[in-house]
Amino acid sequence: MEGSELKELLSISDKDFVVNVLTFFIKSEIEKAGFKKAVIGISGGVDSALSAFLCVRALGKDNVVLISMPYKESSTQSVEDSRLIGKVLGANFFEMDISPQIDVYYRRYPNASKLRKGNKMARERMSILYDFAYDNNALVVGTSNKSELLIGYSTRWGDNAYDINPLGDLYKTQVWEIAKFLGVPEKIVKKKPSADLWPGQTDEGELGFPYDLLDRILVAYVDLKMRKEEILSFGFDKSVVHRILNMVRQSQYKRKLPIVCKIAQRTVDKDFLYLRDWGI
Amino acid sequence: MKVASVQIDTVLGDMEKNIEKICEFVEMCVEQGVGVSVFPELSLTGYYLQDITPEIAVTPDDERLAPLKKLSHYIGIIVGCIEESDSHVLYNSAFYIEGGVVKHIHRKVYLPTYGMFDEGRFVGSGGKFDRFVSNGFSSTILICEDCWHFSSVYIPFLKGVKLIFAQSASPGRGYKNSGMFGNTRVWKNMGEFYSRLTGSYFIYSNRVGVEDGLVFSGNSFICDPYGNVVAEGSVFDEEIITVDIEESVIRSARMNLPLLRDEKPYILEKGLKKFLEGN
Repeated sequence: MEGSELKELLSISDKDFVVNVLTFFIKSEIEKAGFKKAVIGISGGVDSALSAFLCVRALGKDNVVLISMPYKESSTQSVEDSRLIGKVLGANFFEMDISPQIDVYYRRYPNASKLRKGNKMARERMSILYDFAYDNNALVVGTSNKSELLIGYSTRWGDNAYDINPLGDLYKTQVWEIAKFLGVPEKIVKKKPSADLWPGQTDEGELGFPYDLLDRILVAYVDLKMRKEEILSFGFDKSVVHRILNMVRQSQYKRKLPIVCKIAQRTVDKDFLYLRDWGI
Repeated sequence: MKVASVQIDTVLGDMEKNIEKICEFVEMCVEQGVGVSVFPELSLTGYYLQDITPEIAVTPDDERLAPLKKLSHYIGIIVGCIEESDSHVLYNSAFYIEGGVVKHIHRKVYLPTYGMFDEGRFVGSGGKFDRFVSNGFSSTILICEDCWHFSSVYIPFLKGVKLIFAQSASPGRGYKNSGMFGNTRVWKNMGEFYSRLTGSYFIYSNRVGVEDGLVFSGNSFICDPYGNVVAEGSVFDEEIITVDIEESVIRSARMNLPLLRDEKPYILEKGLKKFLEGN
């Protein structure tokens, strides 16, 4: 197998079919749980745009609540692109500036780092999404893709907190593929990915490698279960492969619920095994 | 005789609701003049049971099966359930219900316990592949992973079975095919292969619906003894697909391709004996 074959492996043959599966998943899981609406945080990026497109397809625009939650330093482009998604989809769209509550809080900690503040903002947004979910009798639909889930590129209990996630088994490059197919506006599909945690931030700049490279390494490691030496034989930079595999290992805690200390015969996180869809 | 492969969604861990739904579909089958109907693996219980397994186990005389037994005076019914034996071992089983009684039981032999599957942790494995008679036709039942092993079909084939019923609860995966999951392609390959090589009908019932993000791949189908898919369900919807079983087609397939006549089981016996002795 050659490096180019890894790229081919990521390519989705029948996008329409995958879209049908994802919409079926959204509709089934939400309705089984006794709901009919979805709440989604819209950032102006391709992931949340795709989640929103899929939810509208699955539930109808009247059953989808989109919330854009910029901070005063968020790029105007992000704000405008979020509005564009709202407009294109015609779903319920809200814009809420989170600067007041963030700034009040950080008045006490004026020297807080930008990462600390970025994490707080992500959790503030999560808190708003769940508040809206309660008010709308809805579930929160996530926007984390497989690439970021695997390297832990997210804020714990922030953007990685949601009820269901249609994108979690699609790598970033596959999200682009499906988003383009579904008609997500081109400017959103093509712009550089950014968590928009601070002005000028881009994912690939912060991570130090492009998604295209990341996804090929991840598909070899995760989906093909290849060993590190086999992955290196494709000619990838050794330090990048090493770093990515380390990120996967070190971020495992982000993919798991809190751990419980076992005392009794049966323990809720260990040997009390029931799916969430138990009885529904 | 008309057979039906019924693909349904189930509620995980709610046998009463599932039986109610199965009865509705059985009644529709009766209206369509079906002689034998097959429902998916674990259709009485839902698939990913884990610790629900011991809570939902039944014996063939369980009173909750009464509505199915009542209907079985009009039609043969194959359902999937967790069976508890007299010695309290649990199995992933298929019950064939006819004439008011559980007439035949197949206990799943090959329990997938890898990747997303964890069956061997919760149930014991069956030890044989039997022949039984369903509505007058020599038949056998395979449950999902059973089909992936050569040893499953061979003995029933030698015994000349004409109907191979295959149940599954197969979670969809793989995005390299058109209009279906990758695993569906493999199921069709197996159905076409088994039906052609045994000169039998292959009647496959897979479930639909979702359990915690596992989207079951539906696409139930029936192959004729020539290896052709002659009826096929959709990916997502609950539905009944039917085919008329024609003895003449079985005969024709076996006349044109006399594989059963020419099979030499003693070669296998000799080789197996040597192999099992370590040679």
